[in-house]
Order: sequence, then C-alpha cells, then structure tokens
Amino acid sequence: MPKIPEITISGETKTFQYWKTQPYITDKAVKDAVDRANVLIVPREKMHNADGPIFSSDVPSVLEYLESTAPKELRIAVAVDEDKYREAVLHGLLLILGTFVVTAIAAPIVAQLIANYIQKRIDNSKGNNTVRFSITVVAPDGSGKRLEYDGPAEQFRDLVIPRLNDVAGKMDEAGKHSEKLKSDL
Amino acid sequence: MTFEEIENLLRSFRKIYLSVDRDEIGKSLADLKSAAVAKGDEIAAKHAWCLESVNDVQRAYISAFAHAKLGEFFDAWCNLESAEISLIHLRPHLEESFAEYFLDWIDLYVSRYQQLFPYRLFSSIGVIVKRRECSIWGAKVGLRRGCAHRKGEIYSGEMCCDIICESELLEISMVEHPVNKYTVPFDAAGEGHNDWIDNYDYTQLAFIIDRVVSPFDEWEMTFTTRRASRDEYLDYSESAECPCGSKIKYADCCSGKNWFDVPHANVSFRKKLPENRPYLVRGHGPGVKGRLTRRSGDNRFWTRYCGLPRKTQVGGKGEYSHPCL
Repeated sequence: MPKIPEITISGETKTFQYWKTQPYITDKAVKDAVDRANVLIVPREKMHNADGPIFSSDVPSVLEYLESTAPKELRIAVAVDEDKYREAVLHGLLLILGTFVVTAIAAPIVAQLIANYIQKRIDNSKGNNTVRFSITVVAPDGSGKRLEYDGPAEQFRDLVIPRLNDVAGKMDEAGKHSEKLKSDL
Repeated sequence: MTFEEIENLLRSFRKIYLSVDRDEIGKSLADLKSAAVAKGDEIAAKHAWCLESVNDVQRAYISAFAHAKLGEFFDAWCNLESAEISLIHLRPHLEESFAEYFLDWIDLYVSRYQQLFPYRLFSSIGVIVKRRECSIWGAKVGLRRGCAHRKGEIYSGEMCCDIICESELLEISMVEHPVNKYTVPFDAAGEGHNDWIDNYDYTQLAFIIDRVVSPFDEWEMTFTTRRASRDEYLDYSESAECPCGSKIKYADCCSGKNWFDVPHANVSFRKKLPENRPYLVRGHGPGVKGRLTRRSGDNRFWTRYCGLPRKTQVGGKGEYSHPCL
C-alpha cells in the first residue's frame, strides 16, 4: 500500500544559535563555517538508546550534491567536527535526508535543490522510495519554524516546495518587520 | 578464452543457457582481468568486471528458475535478489549493451517473478556506523570522502564500495521495502531446533512455474478486482480480515453486502497457436481455465487465465477469491 504523505509544520526553538554552541563543534574551521552558514545540516541528538550526534547515512551524498550545485550565495556547513561524525544506516528503502536549518531567504533555493537531488535518486532506483526530511526555517529576527515531510519521494516536489515557500515568505516578511520595529525603538 | 569468445557466449545466452560452462567463463575472465591489471590497462580490467557481472546475472537468473522448478522457492528468491543487485551495480557501466546480453529481459522477469512470492515483510537491521573505509585503498571515509575513489566506479577490475569497519547495532525492525530482500522471516522449527519451517503459501508462483517450460517463456500478470457475491463466503470467518483487502474484520466491513470487490489477478502466457486453431479452451488445474486470445496490436497469441487468487498475507492460510470463468 503506498505511503500517505505527511507534512507537519510547528514552531522550533533550535535555530542557528542553538547548534553553534554544541560541544561536538570544537574545530576552529568547523566553528567558522557554522558561524557563516545560512544552510546548516544538523544531527539527531538521540536515536533509540544511542546518544548523538548521529547523522543520516544520506548526508554525505546530499552534502556533495549541494556543494556541487548550489549557488555561491548558499553557505553550507555541517554541525559536527569531522572526527565526531557518526551516521545511522537503516536497512529500509528510506531516503533520510536529515535535518536542515536555513535562513528564510535561502529556504526556497534549498527546497528546489533537495527536490532535484531526490529526483536524481528516484531515477537511479526502483520505486517505493520514501523520503524523510526536516527543515527549520529561521526568520531574520531569529524565530524558527520546522517543516517535516514523511512520504513518497515522487510527491516531494509538489507537496513540499509550495508549503515551504509559503512559510519562508511569511517568515521573511514578518522577521524583517520585527527587525525594523526593534531598530526604530 | 578471449574477450571476444566470452562476449559471443554471453550474447548467445538464450540458445546455450543449458550447456554453457559458467565456471570456465568465470575463470577465463579472472585470468584476463589479472593480465589487464598487471599491464595497468584499466579499460580491459573494467571490461572483464562487466563481463563477470553479466555472467553472474545470467547464472543467478537461470539458477532461480531451476530452484523454482524444484519447489525450492526461497533459494529461487535469493537468486533473483542476487541478479537484481548485480544488475543495479552493472547498469551504469554497461547501459548501452544491456539488451545484447538479455539483461533488459532478465531485469523485467526478475521483477515479474519476485511479485509472485508471498514475502511481504522483511527483517532489517539499523546500525550506527563509526568507521568506514574505501574498499580500494582502505582510506578512512568520513563526512567528506577521504579518497579520490567514487563509490560504484570500477578500479583495477573491482567495484569501489565502503567497508563498514566499526559499528553498533541500533535496532532490528520489520520493513516492507528492504534494501536487500534476503532477510525473509521464517517460523522456527521448535524449541531446541536450529532449523526453520517454510509456512508461506506459494500458490501464485507454483501456478506460473508449472506452466512455463523454459526461463524464457513469456508471461505477465495484472492485478485487478472482481465482483464477488456473499454466497462465495458463507464459510468465511466473520472475525478474519475482510476479503476485500481493507485489513479490517469481515464482520465490520463487507459481511453485510450482497456483492463486493475482491483482489484478483489475471495472468497471460505467450504461446504460439497453430493456424487452424485460433481459439482454444483448456482446463488448467482445479477450478482454473485458460484460453488463447489475440490481443489488439499484437500478432502473437496469449493464453489468458482468470481466477488466479492473489495472495496478500504473510504465511498462514489465506482466503482466496473464486475463479471467475
């Protein structure tokens, strides 16, 4: 039976500021990259009984794709020191793309690139692919919203991109408005 | 044997599949590959790897068919899976020559045979990988690849992959769509026994395999539904899953209806029909009949069977729709 796609949108407090201060980021080069990033790939902090940071096994391939195709305005980083990187390999036919934290202005571009990446994976595989994807959009005032998708890979582009563009558009505007209010005060 | 001789043998797969010595081909290819690697000839070494894979795929497909004919269904399943995995690895390197070696055909029929098996759930492990190495140089592979080799590419006649050197078991799950399909769960034979019992119902597969003679006999199955009357299910348990496939109890679903739709499968076999007998009706096993029909746009005749029950359950005894002819 084909999986029914699920999209949830909720408030999120773990934004750039939270991830920058994690103890598994100690290397100076990584710290600098995370400080500059407007697209941050973040780990799971716990998985069953195992403590994090734990990344999805698809993260290296997603990262390689993003770094080779993204416009130079996107500054991509992964929130972990290289030697602390560990990944979960699950034996199901799942495309677990991981969790992204992005600025509102970068969100539509990231969503488009991820959709292209998924299409490439679909083209090289035999059906029944399920995608799990999570993205936190951070407004200019630092507030965050999290969109999660769990559903067929084929429906990702049509279902996620419009919702994410909508969320990002509203947050960008609201954030700019709130920033302006702060500066006027 | 030379590359050319081996290519010709593999291209004649359909004619000589019973007589070809695959071990001999494998040995010759191993020698050719060693010689190419010694000379630093990457192209010839890669070509040897491709032909080795073609040989493996063809062998696995024939072996799957032979096991199925003998009623060794799980062995047949494992060989189909082996062929499928090799095809996935091989395709990027030999895409243009797939048809020459019957690989497109095998790919299609591996899928068709797989869908006849009753396996619907598979065990699956999840692990946390702590250390991976490149299979070519042994370099540590991390977040960013630590060496110049690309996974899936061929180097010195071997495919590059990652070797998991250190890991921690995270979970064992039951999944519907595993990456590898070997992990079929079976019932244990009983306390104190290490053996297992195969309680799966292979009705669909047995139906097809009894009616095909060679691994190249063509057939296709389509899944649909048919109208069933309540009278056909008078002895059916009210607490069993509804035959309509809703996964809820029969009593809470279609039990009160006079007519309802049930899952149904049709299978067609491609057979050449004598010119003086354009239509033929025969019996094929209890309650199932076939007839030859001409399909629109197709000059060949197909034997069409209706009423083959569709299995949707894991093991145990299922309830089937009745033949509709």
